[in-house]
Amino acid sequence: MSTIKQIPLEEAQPGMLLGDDLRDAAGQVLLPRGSELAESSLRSLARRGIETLTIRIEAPVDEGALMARREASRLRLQHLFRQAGDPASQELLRLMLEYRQERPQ
Amino acid sequence: MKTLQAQQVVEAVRQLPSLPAVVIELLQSADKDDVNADELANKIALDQALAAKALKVANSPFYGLQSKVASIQDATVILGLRQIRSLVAAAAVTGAFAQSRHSWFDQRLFWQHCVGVALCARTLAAEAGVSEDGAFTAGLLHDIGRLVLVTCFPDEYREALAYQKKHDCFLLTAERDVLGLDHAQVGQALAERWHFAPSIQAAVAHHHAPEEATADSLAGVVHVADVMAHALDLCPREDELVPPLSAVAWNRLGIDWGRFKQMLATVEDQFEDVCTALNI
Repeated sequence: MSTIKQIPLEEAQPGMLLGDDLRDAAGQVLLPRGSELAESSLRSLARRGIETLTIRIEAPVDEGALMARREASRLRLQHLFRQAGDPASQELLRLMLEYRQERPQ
Repeated sequence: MKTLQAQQVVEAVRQLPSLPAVVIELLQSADKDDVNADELANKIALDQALAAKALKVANSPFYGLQSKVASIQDATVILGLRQIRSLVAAAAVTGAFAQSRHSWFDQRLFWQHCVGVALCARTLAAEAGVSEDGAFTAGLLHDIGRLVLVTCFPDEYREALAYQKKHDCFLLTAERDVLGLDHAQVGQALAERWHFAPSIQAAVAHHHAPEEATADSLAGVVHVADVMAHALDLCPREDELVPPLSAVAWNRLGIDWGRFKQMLATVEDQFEDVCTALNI
Protein backbone atom coordinates (compact mmCIF):
# COMPACT_ATOMS: atom_id res chain seq x y z
CA MET A 1 0.00 0.00 0.00
CA SER A 2 1.27 3.47 -0.80
CA THR A 3 0.01 7.02 -1.06
CA ILE A 4 0.93 9.74 -3.54
CA LYS A 5 1.59 13.21 -2.13
CA GLN A 6 2.81 16.65 -3.32
CA ILE A 7 5.59 18.18 -1.27
CA PRO A 8 7.72 21.32 -1.63
CA LEU A 9 11.25 20.58 -2.85
CA GLU A 10 12.83 21.71 0.42
CA GLU A 11 10.97 18.96 2.28
CA ALA A 12 12.25 16.26 -0.08
CA GLN A 13 14.76 13.82 1.39
CA PRO A 14 17.21 11.51 -0.34
CA GLY A 15 15.74 8.03 -0.62
CA MET A 16 12.18 9.20 -1.30
CA LEU A 17 10.46 7.71 -4.38
CA LEU A 18 8.85 9.76 -7.14
CA GLY A 19 5.11 9.10 -7.41
CA ASP A 20 4.92 10.49 -10.96
CA ASP A 21 7.18 11.49 -13.84
CA LEU A 22 8.96 14.72 -12.94
CA ARG A 23 8.91 17.17 -15.88
CA ASP A 24 10.39 20.57 -16.45
CA ALA A 25 8.37 23.55 -17.73
CA ALA A 26 8.80 22.31 -21.32
CA GLY A 27 7.32 18.92 -20.47
CA GLN A 28 10.64 17.12 -20.70
CA VAL A 29 10.92 14.21 -18.26
CA LEU A 30 13.73 14.90 -15.81
CA LEU A 31 13.21 11.83 -13.66
CA PRO A 32 10.78 8.97 -14.33
CA ARG A 33 8.15 7.80 -11.90
CA GLY A 34 9.53 5.44 -9.29
CA SER A 35 13.01 7.02 -9.25
CA GLU A 36 14.71 7.20 -5.92
CA LEU A 37 15.78 10.74 -5.08
CA ALA A 38 19.52 11.22 -4.48
CA GLU A 39 21.25 14.10 -2.75
CA SER A 40 22.78 15.15 -6.09
CA SER A 41 19.49 15.04 -8.02
CA LEU A 42 17.79 17.21 -5.35
CA ARG A 43 20.48 19.88 -5.84
CA SER A 44 20.12 19.62 -9.61
CA LEU A 45 16.32 19.98 -9.38
CA ALA A 46 16.72 23.13 -7.28
CA ARG A 47 18.98 24.61 -9.98
CA ARG A 48 16.36 23.81 -12.62
CA GLY A 49 13.73 25.76 -10.70
CA ILE A 50 11.61 22.79 -9.57
CA GLU A 51 9.49 23.83 -6.57
CA THR A 52 7.24 20.85 -5.84
CA LEU A 53 7.62 17.09 -6.16
CA THR A 54 5.10 14.26 -6.31
CA ILE A 55 6.34 11.50 -4.07
CA ARG A 56 5.12 8.06 -3.15
CA ILE A 57 4.99 7.13 0.50
CA GLU A 58 4.98 3.43 1.28
CA ALA A 59 2.74 2.51 4.17
CA PRO A 60 4.81 1.00 6.95
CA VAL A 61 4.82 -2.79 6.82
CA ASP A 62 2.73 -4.18 9.63
CA GLU A 63 5.32 -6.58 11.10
CA GLY A 64 2.82 -8.25 13.41
CA ALA A 65 0.37 -8.99 10.61
CA LEU A 66 3.16 -10.28 8.38
CA MET A 67 4.38 -12.65 11.10
CA ALA A 68 0.83 -13.91 11.58
CA ARG A 69 0.43 -14.58 7.85
CA ARG A 70 3.73 -16.42 7.72
CA GLU A 71 2.73 -18.59 10.64
CA ALA A 72 -0.69 -19.32 9.09
CA SER A 73 1.02 -20.23 5.79
CA ARG A 74 3.42 -22.54 7.61
CA LEU A 75 0.58 -24.36 9.37
CA ARG A 76 -1.39 -24.60 6.14
CA LEU A 77 1.58 -26.21 4.35
CA GLN A 78 2.03 -28.74 7.16
CA HIS A 79 -1.65 -29.57 6.70
CA LEU A 80 -1.41 -29.85 2.90
CA PHE A 81 1.60 -32.16 3.11
CA ARG A 82 0.21 -34.26 5.96
CA GLN A 83 0.34 -37.47 3.88
CA ALA A 84 3.56 -36.79 1.99
CA GLY A 85 6.30 -38.67 3.85
CA ASP A 86 8.53 -39.66 0.93
CA PRO A 87 11.89 -37.88 0.49
CA ALA A 88 10.96 -36.04 -2.74
CA SER A 89 7.78 -34.63 -1.18
CA GLN A 90 9.66 -33.67 1.98
CA GLU A 91 12.16 -31.76 -0.15
CA LEU A 92 9.27 -30.00 -1.86
CA LEU A 93 7.71 -29.15 1.51
CA ARG A 94 11.00 -27.66 2.67
CA LEU A 95 11.09 -25.47 -0.44
CA MET A 96 7.44 -24.45 -0.10
CA LEU A 97 8.06 -23.40 3.52
CA GLU A 98 10.92 -21.23 2.33
CA TYR A 99 8.78 -19.80 -0.48
CA ARG A 100 5.90 -18.96 1.86
CA GLN A 101 8.24 -17.10 4.20
CA GLU A 102 8.86 -14.72 1.31
CA ARG A 103 5.34 -14.82 -0.12
CA PRO A 104 2.85 -15.75 2.58
CA GLN A 105 -0.64 -16.61 1.42
CA MET B 1 -21.92 -51.07 -3.59
CA LYS B 2 -20.65 -53.04 -6.57
CA THR B 3 -17.50 -51.74 -8.18
CA LEU B 4 -17.56 -50.45 -11.76
CA GLN B 5 -16.50 -52.71 -14.58
CA ALA B 6 -14.14 -51.45 -17.27
CA GLN B 7 -16.77 -52.36 -19.87
CA GLN B 8 -19.34 -50.07 -18.16
CA VAL B 9 -16.88 -47.20 -18.37
CA VAL B 10 -16.15 -47.81 -22.03
CA GLU B 11 -19.89 -47.88 -22.69
CA ALA B 12 -20.44 -44.65 -20.74
CA VAL B 13 -17.64 -42.89 -22.58
CA ARG B 14 -19.18 -43.95 -25.88
CA GLN B 15 -22.43 -42.30 -24.83
CA LEU B 16 -20.78 -38.94 -24.24
CA PRO B 17 -21.17 -36.41 -27.04
CA SER B 18 -18.31 -36.41 -29.51
CA LEU B 19 -16.31 -33.24 -30.00
CA PRO B 20 -16.57 -31.08 -33.13
CA ALA B 21 -14.17 -32.30 -35.81
CA VAL B 22 -12.06 -29.16 -35.62
CA VAL B 23 -11.56 -29.59 -31.88
CA ILE B 24 -10.43 -33.17 -32.38
CA GLU B 25 -7.95 -31.87 -34.92
CA LEU B 26 -6.72 -29.25 -32.45
CA LEU B 27 -6.27 -31.86 -29.74
CA GLN B 28 -4.46 -34.23 -32.07
CA SER B 29 -1.93 -31.58 -32.97
CA ALA B 30 -1.81 -29.86 -29.57
CA ASP B 31 1.80 -30.90 -28.97
CA LYS B 32 3.05 -29.99 -32.45
CA ASP B 33 4.39 -26.58 -33.31
CA ASP B 34 4.38 -26.95 -37.11
CA VAL B 35 0.74 -26.48 -38.04
CA ASN B 36 -0.72 -24.36 -40.80
CA ALA B 37 -2.13 -21.31 -39.01
CA ASP B 38 -4.38 -20.05 -41.80
CA GLU B 39 -5.89 -23.42 -42.44
CA LEU B 40 -6.64 -23.98 -38.79
CA ALA B 41 -8.06 -20.48 -38.32
CA ASN B 42 -10.40 -21.03 -41.25
CA LYS B 43 -11.63 -24.28 -39.77
CA ILE B 44 -12.23 -22.75 -36.36
CA ALA B 45 -14.09 -19.87 -37.97
CA LEU B 46 -16.50 -22.34 -39.60
CA ASP B 47 -17.74 -23.51 -36.21
CA GLN B 48 -19.61 -20.43 -35.04
CA ALA B 49 -20.16 -21.43 -31.45
CA LEU B 50 -16.50 -22.30 -31.08
CA ALA B 51 -15.32 -19.14 -32.83
CA ALA B 52 -17.52 -17.04 -30.56
CA LYS B 53 -16.00 -18.65 -27.48
CA ALA B 54 -12.48 -18.13 -28.72
CA LEU B 55 -13.14 -14.47 -29.53
CA LYS B 56 -14.64 -13.87 -26.11
CA VAL B 57 -11.44 -15.15 -24.54
CA ALA B 58 -9.24 -13.20 -26.96
CA ASN B 59 -11.13 -10.02 -26.07
CA SER B 60 -11.00 -10.56 -22.30
CA PRO B 61 -9.00 -8.03 -20.27
CA PHE B 62 -6.28 -10.63 -19.64
CA TYR B 63 -4.83 -10.01 -23.08
CA GLY B 64 -5.18 -6.25 -22.71
CA LEU B 65 -5.69 -5.62 -26.42
CA GLN B 66 -6.27 -2.02 -27.50
CA SER B 67 -9.06 -2.77 -29.93
CA LYS B 68 -11.58 -5.57 -30.22
CA VAL B 69 -10.64 -8.66 -32.18
CA ALA B 70 -13.46 -9.39 -34.60
CA SER B 71 -12.38 -12.55 -36.37
CA ILE B 72 -10.49 -15.74 -35.64
CA GLN B 73 -8.07 -14.84 -38.41
CA ASP B 74 -7.26 -11.56 -36.63
CA ALA B 75 -7.00 -13.34 -33.31
CA THR B 76 -4.44 -15.81 -34.64
CA VAL B 77 -2.40 -12.95 -36.03
CA ILE B 78 -2.53 -10.91 -32.83
CA LEU B 79 -2.28 -13.61 -30.19
CA GLY B 80 -0.51 -16.23 -32.23
CA LEU B 81 -1.93 -19.51 -33.39
CA ARG B 82 -0.49 -21.42 -30.49
CA GLN B 83 -2.39 -19.36 -27.94
CA ILE B 84 -5.61 -19.62 -29.89
CA ARG B 85 -5.24 -23.35 -30.22
CA SER B 86 -5.00 -23.88 -26.45
CA LEU B 87 -7.88 -21.48 -25.86
CA VAL B 88 -10.22 -23.03 -28.38
CA ALA B 89 -9.49 -26.53 -27.17
CA ALA B 90 -10.08 -25.40 -23.59
CA ALA B 91 -13.34 -23.68 -24.43
CA ALA B 92 -14.59 -26.68 -26.40
CA VAL B 93 -13.75 -29.29 -23.79
CA THR B 94 -15.04 -27.32 -20.81
CA GLY B 95 -18.22 -26.74 -22.81
CA ALA B 96 -18.66 -30.43 -23.71
CA PHE B 97 -19.75 -31.33 -20.20
CA ALA B 98 -23.03 -29.96 -18.92
CA GLN B 99 -22.84 -27.92 -15.72
CA SER B 100 -22.92 -30.28 -12.78
CA ARG B 101 -26.24 -30.28 -10.97
CA HIS B 102 -24.75 -32.01 -7.96
CA SER B 103 -24.28 -29.99 -4.80
CA TRP B 104 -21.45 -32.30 -3.73
CA PHE B 105 -19.34 -31.62 -6.83
CA ASP B 106 -18.12 -28.08 -7.45
CA GLN B 107 -17.44 -28.01 -11.18
CA ARG B 108 -16.02 -24.49 -11.08
CA LEU B 109 -13.45 -25.51 -8.49
CA PHE B 110 -12.68 -28.54 -10.62
CA TRP B 111 -11.86 -26.41 -13.69
CA GLN B 112 -9.95 -23.89 -11.60
CA HIS B 113 -7.68 -26.68 -10.46
CA CYS B 114 -7.25 -27.78 -14.08
CA VAL B 115 -6.31 -24.22 -15.11
CA GLY B 116 -3.80 -24.13 -12.25
CA VAL B 117 -2.22 -27.39 -13.43
CA ALA B 118 -2.23 -26.15 -17.04
CA LEU B 119 -0.34 -23.01 -16.02
CA CYS B 120 2.15 -24.97 -13.93
CA ALA B 121 2.62 -27.43 -16.79
CA ARG B 122 3.26 -24.65 -19.30
CA THR B 123 5.81 -23.01 -17.02
CA LEU B 124 7.58 -26.32 -16.38
CA ALA B 125 7.54 -27.18 -20.10
CA ALA B 126 9.17 -23.87 -21.03
CA GLU B 127 11.96 -24.61 -18.57
CA ALA B 128 12.36 -28.25 -19.58
CA GLY B 129 12.23 -27.53 -23.30
CA VAL B 130 9.09 -29.50 -24.20
CA SER B 131 5.96 -28.30 -26.02
CA GLU B 132 4.38 -25.53 -23.95
CA ASP B 133 1.01 -25.73 -25.69
CA GLY B 134 0.90 -29.48 -25.39
CA ALA B 135 1.70 -29.17 -21.69
CA PHE B 136 -0.99 -26.51 -21.17
CA THR B 137 -3.64 -28.59 -22.91
CA ALA B 138 -2.57 -31.76 -21.11
CA GLY B 139 -2.74 -29.95 -17.78
CA LEU B 140 -6.17 -28.65 -18.54
CA LEU B 141 -7.46 -32.12 -19.42
CA HIS B 142 -5.52 -34.28 -16.96
CA ASP B 143 -8.46 -34.93 -14.61
CA ILE B 144 -11.09 -35.30 -17.32
CA GLY B 145 -11.82 -38.82 -16.04
CA ARG B 146 -13.27 -37.31 -12.87
CA LEU B 147 -15.79 -35.42 -14.95
CA VAL B 148 -16.79 -38.62 -16.74
CA LEU B 149 -17.32 -40.33 -13.39
CA VAL B 150 -19.40 -37.45 -11.99
CA THR B 151 -21.47 -37.27 -15.16
CA CYS B 152 -21.99 -40.98 -15.83
CA PHE B 153 -21.79 -42.57 -12.37
CA PRO B 154 -22.90 -39.86 -9.92
CA ASP B 155 -24.08 -42.17 -7.12
CA GLU B 156 -20.91 -44.25 -7.16
CA TYR B 157 -18.68 -41.21 -7.38
CA ARG B 158 -20.42 -39.44 -4.56
CA GLU B 159 -19.69 -42.46 -2.40
CA ALA B 160 -16.01 -42.34 -3.37
CA LEU B 161 -15.84 -38.69 -2.33
CA ALA B 162 -17.52 -39.47 1.00
CA TYR B 163 -15.00 -42.30 1.53
CA GLN B 164 -12.13 -39.92 0.83
CA LYS B 165 -13.46 -37.45 3.39
CA LYS B 166 -13.98 -40.13 6.00
CA HIS B 167 -10.52 -41.69 5.63
CA ASP B 168 -8.62 -38.48 4.76
CA CYS B 169 -6.93 -40.38 1.95
CA PHE B 170 -5.90 -39.49 -1.60
CA LEU B 171 -8.73 -39.30 -4.11
CA LEU B 172 -7.04 -42.02 -6.16
CA THR B 173 -7.12 -44.40 -3.18
CA ALA B 174 -10.78 -43.63 -2.50
CA GLU B 175 -11.71 -44.23 -6.14
CA ARG B 176 -9.88 -47.55 -6.27
CA ASP B 177 -11.33 -48.73 -2.95
CA VAL B 178 -14.91 -47.78 -3.76
CA LEU B 179 -15.12 -48.00 -7.56
CA GLY B 180 -12.43 -50.56 -8.31
CA LEU B 181 -10.87 -48.18 -10.81
CA ASP B 182 -9.62 -44.59 -10.83
CA HIS B 183 -10.08 -41.36 -12.77
CA ALA B 184 -6.79 -41.82 -14.62
CA GLN B 185 -8.05 -45.06 -16.19
CA VAL B 186 -11.40 -43.51 -17.04
CA GLY B 187 -9.69 -40.44 -18.46
CA GLN B 188 -7.55 -42.66 -20.64
CA ALA B 189 -10.67 -44.22 -22.15
CA LEU B 190 -12.03 -40.77 -23.00
CA ALA B 191 -8.67 -39.50 -24.27
CA GLU B 192 -8.57 -42.40 -26.72
CA ARG B 193 -12.15 -41.87 -27.78
CA TRP B 194 -11.58 -38.15 -28.33
CA HIS B 195 -8.29 -38.77 -30.15
CA PHE B 196 -6.05 -36.60 -27.99
CA ALA B 197 -2.42 -36.45 -29.14
CA PRO B 198 -0.51 -39.52 -27.83
CA SER B 199 1.65 -37.50 -25.42
CA ILE B 200 -1.53 -35.97 -23.94
CA GLN B 201 -3.21 -39.36 -23.68
CA ALA B 202 -0.19 -40.56 -21.70
CA ALA B 203 -0.46 -37.52 -19.40
CA VAL B 204 -4.13 -38.21 -18.69
CA ALA B 205 -3.46 -41.92 -18.10
CA HIS B 206 -0.26 -41.68 -16.06
CA HIS B 207 -0.23 -38.35 -14.24
CA HIS B 208 -0.36 -40.23 -10.94
CA ALA B 209 2.24 -42.81 -12.00
CA PRO B 210 4.59 -40.94 -14.35
CA GLU B 211 7.31 -43.58 -14.04
CA GLU B 212 5.02 -45.87 -16.08
CA ALA B 213 5.07 -43.46 -19.01
CA THR B 214 7.97 -42.82 -21.34
CA ALA B 215 10.10 -39.74 -20.75
CA ASP B 216 8.95 -38.11 -24.00
CA SER B 217 5.27 -38.09 -22.98
CA LEU B 218 3.79 -35.22 -21.01
CA ALA B 219 2.94 -37.44 -18.03
CA GLY B 220 5.94 -36.29 -16.00
CA VAL B 221 5.32 -32.60 -16.65
CA VAL B 222 1.66 -32.90 -15.73
CA HIS B 223 2.45 -34.98 -12.65
CA VAL B 224 4.82 -32.36 -11.27
CA ALA B 225 2.41 -29.59 -12.34
CA ASP B 226 -0.42 -31.29 -10.42
CA VAL B 227 1.70 -31.54 -7.26
CA MET B 228 2.81 -27.93 -7.75
CA ALA B 229 -0.77 -26.64 -8.11
CA HIS B 230 -1.84 -28.48 -4.95
CA ALA B 231 1.21 -27.23 -3.05
CA LEU B 232 0.42 -23.64 -4.09
CA ASP B 233 -3.08 -24.17 -2.67
CA LEU B 234 -4.59 -22.47 -5.73
CA CYS B 235 -8.07 -23.84 -5.01
CA PRO B 236 -8.19 -23.98 -1.22
CA ARG B 237 -10.34 -26.72 0.26
CA GLU B 238 -10.48 -27.78 3.86
CA ASP B 239 -9.41 -31.36 3.05
CA GLU B 240 -6.83 -30.36 0.41
CA LEU B 241 -3.97 -32.85 0.17
CA VAL B 242 -0.74 -32.61 -1.83
CA PRO B 243 -0.18 -35.86 -3.76
CA PRO B 244 3.24 -37.51 -3.37
CA LEU B 245 5.90 -36.17 -5.75
CA SER B 246 7.50 -38.78 -7.99
CA ALA B 247 11.28 -38.49 -7.78
CA VAL B 248 11.51 -40.11 -11.23
CA ALA B 249 9.34 -37.41 -12.82
CA TRP B 250 11.13 -34.65 -10.96
CA ASN B 251 14.58 -35.86 -11.99
CA ARG B 252 13.50 -36.28 -15.62
CA LEU B 253 12.53 -32.60 -15.76
CA GLY B 254 15.92 -31.56 -14.43
CA ILE B 255 14.77 -28.27 -12.92
CA ASP B 256 16.70 -26.95 -9.94
CA TRP B 257 14.90 -25.97 -6.77
CA GLY B 258 15.97 -22.34 -6.92
CA ARG B 259 14.51 -21.91 -10.39
CA PHE B 260 11.40 -23.80 -9.30
CA LYS B 261 10.75 -21.20 -6.61
CA GLN B 262 10.63 -18.45 -9.24
CA MET B 263 8.21 -20.55 -11.26
CA LEU B 264 5.89 -20.83 -8.26
CA ALA B 265 5.67 -17.03 -8.15
CA THR B 266 5.05 -16.82 -11.91
CA VAL B 267 2.10 -19.19 -11.68
CA GLU B 268 0.68 -17.54 -8.58
CA ASP B 269 0.75 -14.15 -10.32
CA GLN B 270 -1.04 -15.41 -13.46
CA PHE B 271 -3.60 -17.77 -12.01
CA GLU B 272 -6.55 -15.47 -11.34
CA ASP B 273 -6.20 -13.56 -14.60
CA VAL B 274 -6.17 -16.74 -16.65
CA CYS B 275 -9.24 -18.11 -14.83
CA THR B 276 -11.03 -14.86 -15.60
CA ALA B 277 -9.91 -14.93 -19.23
CA LEU B 278 -11.18 -18.48 -19.67
CA ASN B 279 -14.39 -17.55 -17.88
CA ILE B 280 -13.83 -20.20 -15.24
